Amino acid sequence: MYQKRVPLAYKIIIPFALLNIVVASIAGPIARNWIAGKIEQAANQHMRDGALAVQDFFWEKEREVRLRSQAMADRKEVSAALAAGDPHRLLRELLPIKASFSVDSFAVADRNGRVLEGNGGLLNNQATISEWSLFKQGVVEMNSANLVETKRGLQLVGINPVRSAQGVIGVVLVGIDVNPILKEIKEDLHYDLALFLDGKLAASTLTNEQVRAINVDRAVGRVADADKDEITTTDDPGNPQRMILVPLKLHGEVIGSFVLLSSDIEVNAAKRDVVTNTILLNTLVVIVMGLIGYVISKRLSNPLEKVADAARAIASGNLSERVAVQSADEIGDLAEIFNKMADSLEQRAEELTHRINELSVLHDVSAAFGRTSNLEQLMDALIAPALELSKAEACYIGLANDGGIGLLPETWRALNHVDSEERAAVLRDLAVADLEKSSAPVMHDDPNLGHVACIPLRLGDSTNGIMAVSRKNPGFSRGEIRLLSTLGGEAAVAVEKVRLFNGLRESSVNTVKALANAVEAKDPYTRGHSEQVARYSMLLAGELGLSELQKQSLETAAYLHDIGKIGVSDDILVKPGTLSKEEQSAIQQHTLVGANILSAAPFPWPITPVVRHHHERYDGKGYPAGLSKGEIPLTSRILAIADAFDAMISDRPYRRARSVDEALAELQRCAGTQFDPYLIGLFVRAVKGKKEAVAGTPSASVDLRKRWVRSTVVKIGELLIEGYGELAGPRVTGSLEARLNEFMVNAGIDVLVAGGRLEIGFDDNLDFRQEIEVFREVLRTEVDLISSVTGRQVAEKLYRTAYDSLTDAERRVLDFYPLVPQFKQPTDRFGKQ
Amino acid sequence: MRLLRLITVSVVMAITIIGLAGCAKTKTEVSPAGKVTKLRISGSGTAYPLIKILADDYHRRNPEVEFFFLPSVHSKGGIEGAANGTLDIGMVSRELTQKEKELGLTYTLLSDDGLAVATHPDTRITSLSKDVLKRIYSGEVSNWKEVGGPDGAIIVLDRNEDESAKMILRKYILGSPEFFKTTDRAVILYYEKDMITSLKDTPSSIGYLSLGSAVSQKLGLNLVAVDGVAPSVQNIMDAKYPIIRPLGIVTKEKVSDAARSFIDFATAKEGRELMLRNGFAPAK
Repeated sequence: MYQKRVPLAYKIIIPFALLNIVVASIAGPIARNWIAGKIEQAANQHMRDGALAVQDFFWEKEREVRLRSQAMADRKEVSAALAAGDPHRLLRELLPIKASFSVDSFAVADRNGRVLEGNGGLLNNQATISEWSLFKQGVVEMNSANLVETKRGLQLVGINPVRSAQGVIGVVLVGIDVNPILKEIKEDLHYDLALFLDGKLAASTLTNEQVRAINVDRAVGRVADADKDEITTTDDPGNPQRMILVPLKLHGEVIGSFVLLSSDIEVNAAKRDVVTNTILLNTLVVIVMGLIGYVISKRLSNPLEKVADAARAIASGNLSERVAVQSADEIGDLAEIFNKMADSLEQRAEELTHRINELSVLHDVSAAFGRTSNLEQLMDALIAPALELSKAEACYIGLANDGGIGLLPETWRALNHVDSEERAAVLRDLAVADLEKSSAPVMHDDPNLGHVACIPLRLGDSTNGIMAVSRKNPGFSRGEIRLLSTLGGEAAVAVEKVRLFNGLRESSVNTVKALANAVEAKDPYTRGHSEQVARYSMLLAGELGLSELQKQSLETAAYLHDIGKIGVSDDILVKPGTLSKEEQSAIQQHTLVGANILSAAPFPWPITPVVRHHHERYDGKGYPAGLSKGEIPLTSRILAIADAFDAMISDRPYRRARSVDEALAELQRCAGTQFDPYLIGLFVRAVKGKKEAVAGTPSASVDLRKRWVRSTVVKIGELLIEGYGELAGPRVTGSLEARLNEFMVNAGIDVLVAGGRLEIGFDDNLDFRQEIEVFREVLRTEVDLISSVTGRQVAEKLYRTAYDSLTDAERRVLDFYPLVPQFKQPTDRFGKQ
Repeated sequence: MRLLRLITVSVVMAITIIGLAGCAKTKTEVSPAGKVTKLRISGSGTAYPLIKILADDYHRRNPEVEFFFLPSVHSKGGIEGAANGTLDIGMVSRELTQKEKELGLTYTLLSDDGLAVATHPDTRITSLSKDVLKRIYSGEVSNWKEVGGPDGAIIVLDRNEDESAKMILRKYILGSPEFFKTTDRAVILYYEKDMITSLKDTPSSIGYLSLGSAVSQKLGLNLVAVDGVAPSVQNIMDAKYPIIRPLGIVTKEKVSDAARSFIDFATAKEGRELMLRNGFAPAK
């Protein structure tokens, strides 16, 4: 399931913040409403309290004004002045205390209500107040007060009777301006005040505009029950006012009402402030919480990130990365464990790497062993890894030879080439000693070399060699010894393999040579011919650029191509002259016979087909299969050319040799018919290029003929002496030999007869003709000498007996040249008598 | 631990910010930077208006000095209070007596305050001669029509004898008590503010008061010229209007630094300009 990656920090912060926001969204308005309600309540309560305060204030003022009037009325001087009817006296008395009493006006009236004197505009002099209810109260000895509209304006007027001995003689009235009172209240309570008497606005602290704006009259009209107070707000949105209407009581009577007004602007502002502040607070809290949450989560996620980074580094291969977190909590634990795990991984990786290196070296060594078929190469391939693997300072390796004595071949190497010979010598001595003694690794301590380990190269139960390594420090560990033993084991196997292989190849080669020799033993003319054919085949192969394998196969085939001739009778093989059809067919069989013989032999190269088809013709008229052109194996085609060429330039019993140029011309004439024209072209070019070498060839085939003749001569010569010896006895034979030798010496012929053996010192400076002459001379002399003793007939008989002992080929040689003309017999076409 | 500290710091910061934000709307009072020095002043009620003006201005400039005006105890009380240490500064509106001079006080004259004569506006009097004044106050003239005014009995407003204003009036107009007796019909008022309200409220009245008070409080009284010289600061400074009383302060000789500084201010250019603006002729 695909999950979008959300960092840990956000997983902590976002729920936190959301929670905050939800709580704030729910709690915020609730709190705000609650606070606003509280503010409203407080404002209302304040207003009510204010109303009470206003009431109290009024009563205080009312009391004050009563007391003042009383104080004034009680003064003796006032009473006296009133009784005397002296207004000025009254003024003198009362004016000074008017100001100190903080009253705004006063008046003194007599019993009848006629004002005698006054000050401050309360009443005019001579005015009558007899109808005043206040006066009526005052004159009957009541100290009272009431609101009165005077000349000055609305005043709170107190009244007190003036007494004399006769009783009440008049009243004193004292007035306080109401407007200043309202102002005072406003300053104190911060409320605007409006006083209503008889439903009409009597006094207020408001300006006319405000009055109009508020429409207080209408508001007042709404309050039906004067006993109850009700807080209302005005309609003007631009200037909302809160107001309370309270009755004004005086002496328990409601004499009017007053309205307290307060601009709600501040209340509203306060409410707005609450909203603003709570929102601000909420936002701040959310931000702060967010920050704190972020910090906390970073403290959690940073270490985790560090662990993740370290894990990434390790995954990408850097195993030495560790986490540097040390907090004492679960994350710290995680980091610690992680580090431990990384340590373990690193260690294992190192071990593995080490092992892999070892195995890699071993593998390379094995591969190198597999490639070498040469003991020296093997040793070289062994010493370098041995040094590297064992981290040794010097290494010596010696292979046990078949005799078991000493160590050959051997090799050594030292890290520091100084004293490498000496070191090698020390190691060798130790190794040789241990070779005898044990079949397991042996440790030594040498004062110069330090620690030495001798490890035998073991294969099965036998030890093929020994490896000695040395190192100053530290000593070789068991693991290293084990490794070197493994290496030694591999080396032992490889050594064995090389030896076997070498042996096998040698025997293979020898087998081939033996077979070739068998063929050549049969037919002296063929001897050396196979070698030459091989040479010419290799020449052409070189021009063609054939592979090693093809060359080897060609070479072996060349050696063995005429092996089939073993199955052909000698008479036919060396018969001079033309052959009958049957004889020809018999010869042609030799390819098949050769192939059959060879098919049984397990050559590593494909010889059989080469031999079978080496007499095919390019035009398909050859034998045995009549293959043509590309059907004929390439090697057979090559062989055919080489074979024909050598035959042409060699002497045969039935014809003389041709020259090289003649042979080449003949080859070219037959190109396209008998031979592959392309190969002919190459061959001709090659031969012409190597004319010198080829020129030596005739002498090689001459050599062949010479050899045949020489061996025949030796054989017949020896047989003759042997026959003579049987007849005449040893003493007589000895004298014969002596006389022969004497003759040879005198004739300057390098021939020695001794003990029935004929030793001819062949002189290669003589050409073939000359040599034939010499041999004739030698044999004639021999026969003559024998004849001189035995007579001619016995001599001839001896000759015949010796002749019969020769092989067909040797007889043919004798008869062909002839070598012993005096006894030559007429022969028929087949050379038979 | 580091985390805990971080959280604590953040929370404290938050609270501070909120607190500051909340406080932003409320009126902040300017609280004095350093230690507050209080100077207790009392004495002549006559001198009070001037000293109050000076003190208010000084406080405005030096909020760390606050003036406490104790209830009026007349010049005498001011002198005595300064001498016995209950007052830092005593206000006086007359010259010191010989005995008072021996109390070891330093007297600083601040202003030559004019004594203005005023009548109720309904008298329609603008000027009076000294002689007329004398006869009004002796009771010889008892109706305004006798001196060119409307018909109405003159209400003579007077101050008590030991009041500096009365003494000044006697000194310059009426004469000493041995030689001049104020009419019985005069209304004796004990405080200048009484005089002021009485002058306002009592028709046909005549009285006298501090020029400075009249001007600085913008009383709107009907001040009359005496011998043709109108009561004005300029006329006082030109020595044309002779009825003056000295307004000054007394302090102990070893005066506090705040008091010294205030006195220096009052007598320096700013103080004098202030007085001038308010109708008090600065002392020469």
